Amino acid sequence: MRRSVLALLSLGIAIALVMSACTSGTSSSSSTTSALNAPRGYKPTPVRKTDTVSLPDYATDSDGVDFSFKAAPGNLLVVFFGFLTCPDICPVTMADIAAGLEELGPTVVQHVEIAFVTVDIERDTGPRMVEYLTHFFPNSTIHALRAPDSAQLSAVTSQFGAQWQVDPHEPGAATYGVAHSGVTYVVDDRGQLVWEWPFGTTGPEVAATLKQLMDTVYPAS
Amino acid sequence: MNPRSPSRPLALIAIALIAGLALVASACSSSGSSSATFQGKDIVVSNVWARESAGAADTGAVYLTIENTSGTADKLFSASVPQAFAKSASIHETVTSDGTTATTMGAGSSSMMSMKEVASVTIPANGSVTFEPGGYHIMLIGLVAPLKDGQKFDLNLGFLNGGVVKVTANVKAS
Ligand SMILES: [Cu+2]
Repeated sequence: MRRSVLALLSLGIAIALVMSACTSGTSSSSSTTSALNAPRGYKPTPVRKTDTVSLPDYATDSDGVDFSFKAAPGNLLVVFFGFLTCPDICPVTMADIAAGLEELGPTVVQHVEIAFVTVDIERDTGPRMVEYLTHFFPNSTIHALRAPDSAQLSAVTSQFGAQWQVDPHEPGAATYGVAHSGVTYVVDDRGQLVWEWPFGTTGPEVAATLKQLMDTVYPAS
Repeated sequence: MNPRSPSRPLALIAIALIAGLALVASACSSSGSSSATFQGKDIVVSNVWARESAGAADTGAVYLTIENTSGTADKLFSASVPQAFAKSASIHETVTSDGTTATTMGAGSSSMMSMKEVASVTIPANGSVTFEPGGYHIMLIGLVAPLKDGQKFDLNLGFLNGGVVKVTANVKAS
């Protein structure tokens, strides 16, 4: 009798072990750890406005429509600076944000807009950026933003505090290095920067912050 | 009353639990499909995967774990793929402009990140190195076709002591 209870207990433990081994093996960025109670990232101070700058948005119009960095009323705008041939930093960040949105569910997701600004204006085109964003965010409002020249791109990145650099190369070269900051920004409907996530912020952390921002930036009226 | 009777429900629960365990274990190995390991001399490579291409991308990154089971350090110094699959494969590391590795970057750091090719990666004696997002990756350049979820492809890894290890990567959706 006692032995069979023990056997049951050990079976239960074995199942728990197998299950935990299984879940830890599937997480995408397992190396990033953080305190569970403190939200990842921070609210930039003093208040920085981002709707003073704009870029052509190719999401709904292949000719590009001017978009100021400001969310629609009641929405949050998530902004990342990257490039399409970036195989590591950019896709993992997109996948983590997408996982966060998945966790939040459609009622919150309809109030979150996703903006991707390319820092590789030579190789990246509007239609290819739309294809890229649709892959990660099929159910979200997206903004595919590409500056017509590097001066306009710099005006935007300096407003956000983001950095980028394209290595010198021959015109039309297929491969050249691109460096960029891996920070993701959140902007509210007044065009104010309300949050910054460092590179490596996980899906659950993205979800927790967005949920909290929705409550604090737009308190129920 | 038969004092042994309570053990019958227990036995039933035990059978159910065993069945459950088997189910969980099989679900785990089939979904992860990362259970495959590849052997070299004192080298074990596992969890080889790449993310599905987002659109018509012609670059990709392969992640994996390399374990060195010998008492001597080894070095991964080359990676190659069939020409019919991609133009080239090389060992890359994601680094930040202030010299830290991307995975240890602090909150709010706006230092720039980029990748650079590295000549080799040391696998410590009786230790392991995991290639993961923000750290090391095997860079694929000039993919003939975008990577698709569920696809598998071969990769040759060259080790100083471990020899050439042929591994198969699984493409995952995210
Ligand atoms: Cu690379």
